[in-house]
Amino acid sequence: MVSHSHSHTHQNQKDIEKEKLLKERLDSIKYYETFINETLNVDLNKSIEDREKVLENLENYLELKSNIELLIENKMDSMKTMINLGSECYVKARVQDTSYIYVDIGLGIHVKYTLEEAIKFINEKETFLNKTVENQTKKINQIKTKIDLIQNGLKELKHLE
Amino acid sequence: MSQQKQQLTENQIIEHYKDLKSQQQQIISRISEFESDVGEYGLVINAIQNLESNRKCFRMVGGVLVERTVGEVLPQIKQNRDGIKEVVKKLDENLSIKTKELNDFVALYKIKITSQ
Repeated sequence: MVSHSHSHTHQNQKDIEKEKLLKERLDSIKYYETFINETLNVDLNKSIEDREKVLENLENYLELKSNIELLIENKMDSMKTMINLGSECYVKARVQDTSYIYVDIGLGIHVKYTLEEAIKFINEKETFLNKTVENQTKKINQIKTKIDLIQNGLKELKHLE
Repeated sequence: MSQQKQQLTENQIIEHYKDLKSQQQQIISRISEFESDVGEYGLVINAIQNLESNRKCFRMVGGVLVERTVGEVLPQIKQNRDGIKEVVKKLDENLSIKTKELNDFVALYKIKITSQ
């Protein structure tokens, strides 16, 4: 009688502990899944988006640079072009003097540059933007690594069930 | 045996640690954002500081390009950059304080991080 009762109590204690461990495991899984979805993935998407903007910016400067080099090579003192007024409506435009151009140098500043000054600036901007992209790529890879690490951990936790 | 702080449950300790860690991470993140801005300001300043003061330029203000000269714009940009540097300095101080707070908390409750 006494022995049986003791054995029964022992079994209950075991079940309770097992249930507790299971709950802790589920709580951990939930916490880390939430962390991935609400923090890491959000950061990752924002970082990728930011990098896309910088790459687009870089592309614009490189296009401007090649246009300027074209002006210099062909010694175009003046030129004709088409200006997009919006809604794909174009008008003819004539640039009487190409010796100066206005360049967006960042922070909303557009400065009057000679063609040579503009190219010099674009080279520096290119270096700066490339470094920015490099840093952002590094950050993106760090976040991806973190996500992979946690997901592997979650896989193991789930496998224990 | 007198306790300076009230006794915390195990869960409260864990939550508080995560909270401190999160705050620290936020400060680090903001610092790197502002430092990136400083880099851009440096680039812009370099782009115009060797030009003559009466060189024409435009500045975007509320979506509208406003005509200015380099002599007018350069001091304003430098002022903005210096302001941002002040903010970064302040954030560095906050980071030091938060890091110390975190380390003290870890030491107090003998927290060990597994696989860190």
